[in-house]
Order: sequence, then structure tokens, then C-alpha cells
Amino acid sequence: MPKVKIEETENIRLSKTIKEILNPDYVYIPFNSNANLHIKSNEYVKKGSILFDDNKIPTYSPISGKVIGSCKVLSDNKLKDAIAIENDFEEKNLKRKTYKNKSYTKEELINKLSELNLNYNLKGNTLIINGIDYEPYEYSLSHITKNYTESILDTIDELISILNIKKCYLAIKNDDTDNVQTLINQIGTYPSINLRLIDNYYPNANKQIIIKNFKLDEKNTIYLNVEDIYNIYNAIKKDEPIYDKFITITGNLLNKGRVLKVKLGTRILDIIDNNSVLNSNYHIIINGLLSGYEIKNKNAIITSNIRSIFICKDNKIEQNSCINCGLCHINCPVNADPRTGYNLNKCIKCGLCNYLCPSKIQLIGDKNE
Amino acid sequence: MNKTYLKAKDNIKSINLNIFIALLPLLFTGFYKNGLKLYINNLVSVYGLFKPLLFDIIGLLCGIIVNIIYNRIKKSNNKVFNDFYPLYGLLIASVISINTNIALFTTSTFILLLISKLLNNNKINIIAFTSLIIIFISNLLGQFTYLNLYEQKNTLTLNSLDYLIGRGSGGINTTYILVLIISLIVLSVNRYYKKEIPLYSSITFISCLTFYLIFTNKIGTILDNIFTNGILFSYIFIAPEFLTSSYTKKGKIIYSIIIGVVTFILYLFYPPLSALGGIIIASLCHRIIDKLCQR
Repeated sequence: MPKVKIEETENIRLSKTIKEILNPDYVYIPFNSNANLHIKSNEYVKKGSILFDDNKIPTYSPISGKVIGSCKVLSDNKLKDAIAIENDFEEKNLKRKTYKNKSYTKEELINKLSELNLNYNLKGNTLIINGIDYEPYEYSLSHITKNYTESILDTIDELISILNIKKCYLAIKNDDTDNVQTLINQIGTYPSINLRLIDNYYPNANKQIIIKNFKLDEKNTIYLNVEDIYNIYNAIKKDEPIYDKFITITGNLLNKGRVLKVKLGTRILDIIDNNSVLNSNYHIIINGLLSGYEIKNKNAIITSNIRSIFICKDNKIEQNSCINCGLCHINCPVNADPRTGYNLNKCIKCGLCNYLCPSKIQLIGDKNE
Repeated sequence: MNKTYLKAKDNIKSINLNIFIALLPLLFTGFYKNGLKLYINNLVSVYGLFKPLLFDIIGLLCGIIVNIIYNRIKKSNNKVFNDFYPLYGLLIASVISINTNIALFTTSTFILLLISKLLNNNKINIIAFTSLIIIFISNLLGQFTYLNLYEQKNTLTLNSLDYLIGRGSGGINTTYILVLIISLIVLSVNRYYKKEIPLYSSITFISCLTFYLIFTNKIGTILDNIFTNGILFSYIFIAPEFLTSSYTKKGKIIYSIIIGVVTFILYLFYPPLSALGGIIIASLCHRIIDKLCQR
């Protein structure tokens, strides 16, 4: 496996605390055209009310407030219709049961999670929990591990017994010193969890690569990350669906980035602290500077698939012709060759070839960019 | 994904600079061996003193001018050092003999580099090809030799240490084996350098040569055979040239083995052209090698 360490050269800094932005003025919940709506315009909804279901999979309101209608928003880089809810800032919760000491069977757990729209694949006898952020400058998973260590370890332990897991690994970066220290101190209480320290090479946090590095059979392996564990914790202990999302917001146009806990459906522009940066020439890049995508629509919202937001200044890089160095191919984690198309069907779109190319050619992704 | 915003620091300019830095000590040692030493021994005039540097500068300028002309013809805004042609000129100057006619070197280098740049098909290693043409024509024009005036006037008995400090014969900047090894180390720490090529080419050539010398009872001359005629220099600086060498893992090994074997075969007939010939033959096959390796 090639070992590429990404040079973190950009002027990007990050605060060590998590900031919560849980009171947006409006949230926008996207829905598909075939969704079955449960609410009407001007209707009052509580936090946790079902807004619509799509093939019987319900979607819940993350805030309490008034439904003010529908509009178009950019959700995961696709333009979609969304229900707009005006926040009343009262966080009126639909009464939910709490199950602090309830013990679940495997079937009960799967039913509970799917009822709360947490659709994880829980088939297999080996469990891998990923605590490594996918890309450089992303710190959400590291922060979650650090701030919710006990809940996460408890939940993993519970999952091991409910799902009858034979082997469980918790993977974290070996240079994530805070977490390494904390976990080494606490892991002794959880003998069934094996802590694995992973080298900080890109893209070592990719699901496929982790499973390959651990020499496991993909079909028999359950793969979750620490945020999934946090969500499962909320589901089984508080009977809560996903209301919030942890994201890293940073970039060379922001003085200091940080990890935010934000409501799903919040408009991205509403969470940018310093709006003055948006007067300059900027790019909003979602999910990483290597494998992410740029959004141009101002109505983009936070969804459960967003890990990070980068506000970066324009960087026009001159492209040259290919020099046949082969770095794109020999460093490819799946042994693909973006120039000849060899093994391209296995491409995981990590962007490593684009990063390494000394001619600065965009080999994978939008070549017109 | 649609765009990779983050890019590695390496670019063509920095790669050029790194190769130039690795080459720089060899330029100095070449200047000492083929200029300063002859001047100190009163074998050459001031012109002779600076002749090795003159070759280097002319080679570099040929590459720069070719780039300028190409950019004018194609109306391109490419910067002169965003391309390897100046380096190609310098490498050609490094492998030819100090006795080469300067006019022949200048015209051949300029014309062949220009044609190669305009054709832009990257099928053949242009450094090896141009050097080979210059050596070949020099040979036709008179007695070709890699020995400089000092070496011609003195009969030297060399031991292994002598080769390390450049007393063997070869191209202008190719004989200091110790410096060459340091250059190889400097280049090898960079991820873009195809370090497998000099490694496997040398192993193949040395293995073939060892068997041959054992068979012919001449094993005592092995160092003389390996360290002269610019073979190691060609393997380190010319064979891994980006555009005309293989880039796949297996491809680089096959490409290197071809170089080593062909070098050995040609070495039996005419040693000064052996490494260059091996590189030319392998470069002609580099695309097919990579294609076969990706099947």
C-alpha cells in the first residue's frame, strides 16, 4: 500500500473546542418528489415530529416551529425541494421515552434504528469503528472521540454484546495524541474493544482501505464511525433520531476554524461566523480539499453527508502537460491509472492522483474546473 | 468530487531545480577534471580551462532557446523552466567527450532538441539519442576518445578509489562515482524520481558483465568496465527521464532489465555508446511495456 502523507501547508488553523449552533432561524429539510408529506403549510411542528416518509422511512423535524412552505435548496450538491421551518427557539420536544437501562436484542436494535432513520448495515461478526477523519484539516471525528469518549466506548461495548460481535477494533490516528492518551487510559475497562493506531497516511480512513489494511472480509465486517456510534447512543438511550451534525468549518479565509455541532437543514451561509470573508473572492468546498466538491449555490444546506466546509480563497494553479512520472498510478490506493483508465472502475475518488500530479492536472473529477 | 483544491508542492520547476542541484557537484568535478587540472598542468589555455563549463552553458542555452522558439511558434505562455529541455541540453553536455567539437555539439543539440520538441511524440529518449549522434559523428570525424589531454599524456594505473574520485574515463561530468552516488541519494529522496530504473539497470548490467568476465578470466577489470564510459551517470540521470521511461511498477523493472541487457551486448562491441544505446532501445519500448503491464 503506497504511503502518502499530505503536506498540511495551507494557512488553516483550528480551535480545540466544539461550538454548538443549534438555533438557526430556519431549517430546510429536503424531500423527494415521491415522499409522503405528513405536514401542511403554517402547521406547527415539534422537535421530533415526522415531516414526511419516503418508502416508510420517516424524516423528523430537528427543531420546533412553524412550517412556512417549501423552497429549492442545494442538498448534497443536488437541487431539491425542501420543507422550510421557522424556528420558535423553544425546542418543544415530542415526548420520547428514555431507555437508560434497557437491554435490546439484535432485532429490537435494528428495528429501533430503522424507525429513527438510522440505516446502518449491521450484518457481520467483526466491528470496525473509525475515529479517523477522512481528509487533512478535518477534525470532527477526532473531536467527537475526545468529547464523548465514555458514551462512545459504552455504546460500542453494548453493540458488541447485542450484535454478538467476535472482534471489534477502534481505529484512531497514531498522531492524535490527545485521543491516544485518553483511550489508552480508558480502554482497559472495555476488554472486548481493540484499539488500533493507524499511520497518518492518506486515504487510510477510507472504509475500503481500512478493511483492506485490517485484512478483513468486507461482507462479514460492520463498519461505523464514531459519529454513527454517537447517533446510535442517542437512539438507544434517548430514543432520538439525528437532529444535529458535527462538521469542521475552516479554510484559509477564516481566522480560525472549528468543529461545529449544527442542526440538520441549516443553511451553510448562516453558520459562517465572519460574513465579511464572503465579500471577497471565495470558494466553498464541501467534504475536503482533496476529494470534496465546490458549491456555488447560496442555498446549500447541512445534510448528514457533510463532514466539512472549507472557505478558501481563489487559487489558480497553472496546468502543464503530463510528464509521465507515474505518481498518479503508483500511489493510487486501488492501483488505478487515471491516464489510461486501467482499474478506474475501482476508483474511490480520494483525489490523491490530483494532489500528487506535479503538472497539476485534474485527473479525476471535473476536468474543466 | 469535482475539484482537488489542495496540491502537493512539487511542480515541474521544482523537479528541474532538484535534478539541477543533484547535478551541480558533478558539473564542478567535471570542470576540475577536464578544465582546471589540465590548466594547472599547462596542457590547455584559458579557453581550455573553461571548455567544460562552456559545454554546460551551451547545452543549457540550447534547451532554453528551443523552448522560446517553441512557445513563439505555438503562441504558448509556458515558462521556459516549466519544461525539461534546458536540463536535457545540460545532460547531453555532461555525457559527451571533452574532445568534442563545440560547433558540432551546438548544432546537433539545438537541431535535435528542436525537432523533438516540435514533434512532441516522446517515443525516444532524446538525451541519449542526441548524445549518441554527437559521439557517432565525432567518431566519424576522427579518433574518438573519452580521455582528456592529461589522461592521454600520462599512463595511469587506477585502483578502485581512483574511480570514486573521478580518475576513470568518461563524459565531461560523468566520472566522479562518489559524487554520482551522492547525487543518486539526493534524487532518490524525491518521490517523483524513478529510482528503480538506475537500481535494476545497474544490477542487470553488472550481473551480465560479471558472468562474462568470469567466463573470459578478466574479472580483475570489472571496476574499470563499470565505472567508465559514463554508464552509471546515464543510468542515474538519463534512463529515468520522465517522458520516455516506463512508469508502472513492473514496467520500470522490465524497462531497466532491457537497458542493462542491451548495454551489456553493445558493450562487447563499442563501450562508449553502450549505455546510451540501451536507453534508446528501452525508451522505444516504454509505452508497450506499460501497456502490457496493465493488461
